[in-house]
Amino acid sequence: MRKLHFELSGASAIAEMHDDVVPKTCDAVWDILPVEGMSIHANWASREIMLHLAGEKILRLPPEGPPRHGAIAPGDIVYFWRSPQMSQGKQLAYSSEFQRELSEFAIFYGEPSGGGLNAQDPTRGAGADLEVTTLFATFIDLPSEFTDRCEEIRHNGLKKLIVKRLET
Amino acid sequence: MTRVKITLGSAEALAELDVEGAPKTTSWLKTVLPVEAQAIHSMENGREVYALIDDPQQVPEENQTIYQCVGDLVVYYKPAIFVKPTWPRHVRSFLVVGFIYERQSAIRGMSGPLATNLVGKITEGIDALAHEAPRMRREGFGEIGISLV
Amino acid sequence: MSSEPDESLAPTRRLRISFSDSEAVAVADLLDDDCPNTCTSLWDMLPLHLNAIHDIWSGHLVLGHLDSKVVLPPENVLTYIPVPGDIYYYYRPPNYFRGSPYGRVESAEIGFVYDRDTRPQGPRGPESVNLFARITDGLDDFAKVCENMIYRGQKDLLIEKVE
Repeated sequence: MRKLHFELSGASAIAEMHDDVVPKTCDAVWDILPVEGMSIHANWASREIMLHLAGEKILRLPPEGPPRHGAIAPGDIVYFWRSPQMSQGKQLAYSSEFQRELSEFAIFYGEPSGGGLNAQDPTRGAGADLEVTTLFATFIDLPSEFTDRCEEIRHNGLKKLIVKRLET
Repeated sequence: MTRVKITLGSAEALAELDVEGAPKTTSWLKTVLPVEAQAIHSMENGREVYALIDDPQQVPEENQTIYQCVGDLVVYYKPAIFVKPTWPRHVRSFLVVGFIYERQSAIRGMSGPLATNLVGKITEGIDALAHEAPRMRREGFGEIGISLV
Repeated sequence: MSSEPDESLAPTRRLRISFSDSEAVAVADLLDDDCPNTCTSLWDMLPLHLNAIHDIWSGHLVLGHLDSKVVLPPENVLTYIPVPGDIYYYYRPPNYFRGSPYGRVESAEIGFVYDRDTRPQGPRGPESVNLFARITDGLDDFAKVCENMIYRGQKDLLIEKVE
């Protein structure tokens, strides 16, 4: 399986892609790498940081892989797309281009993952016209230094995240 | 009318306490004010900012709702895992005072909605808080202050 | 919900909502910027007479059923807690819910949230709805009439354009 390298403020983590389960999503992600941006901490899905995909990196992919019915485990790396049709209130913490439509890597780094208000969102799994969430990779090396950096984002603000191919 | 001032960074707001609806909670709150603490943004409830209150008194369930609204000032016991990176050894929840600054928010426990004591309503300055909190999400959180007016 | 309104756009379209046996009148702004398709579809149906009933699952909410053929796509989808004054469109396909709530296996409806502690939901829990308008005037009196419906039952409700 192909591997990804995550670098967050000097801390590194490695993830393995689920090429055997969601090959088209993995190909699309691989093709846009490297991706970098200022990651922000979640406020609905608990221990998650997000990397928004913008400009030429934006991905609008169909759903792929078995339905997960909203279940998320720590270490999951999820491709997330949200339709412009979704009302989320004012999104002042996000850049203006992400006020409605959103394309991102959702990176779950600890427990609880996916809990909170996200867990009972009635639109999860409602249809690909509203949201697409595809689990496409999982961390296989997630040091505490990396998870500490993730946790720091919620208190200290945005941190630069770089996602690259790990060439073997 | 009993009011409190809430400060978050450069933003100031005023909230009216619901003395009639939450007499025990408002009495308790007055005993712990003024509060000056690290402001923490919710990771699980949406647009909520809160402060941990270090007080051994038990706050009873009162004036409760699972349908928190923008401007609500709430008091409740938040599961510790939403505050700390791992479960503390012997602490399972933290007493918090928090406010909701934008819609698409509701307080959650480990397995579903969490009823919270509605202790007051922000009557002035919610827009300022609604701009300061997102700024802090991007730039880092400072202190939250709550004091009697 | 959206960025600051552009003053160069058309004036806000408004709805006038009233009951046949009450003087209470609410005025609502259509959220054309956020929900254009739903707003236009419903605007074109006005004036609209609804048999308004109090919801039995959702809290402080009254609803009126539309013809089930009024099937609109998801738009400005509100996934969670509405605020007082929210007006939404909702559609459920046949047999989505267990049984036939309100005697309807399939339903298209307009919901009016008149107070807090409300969540649009049915037998399976919270539902996503199209948030297409917000009451900006007259909510207090409108809310009193709505709450009274818990005890007094259904009412004729009229939605008209404010020209």
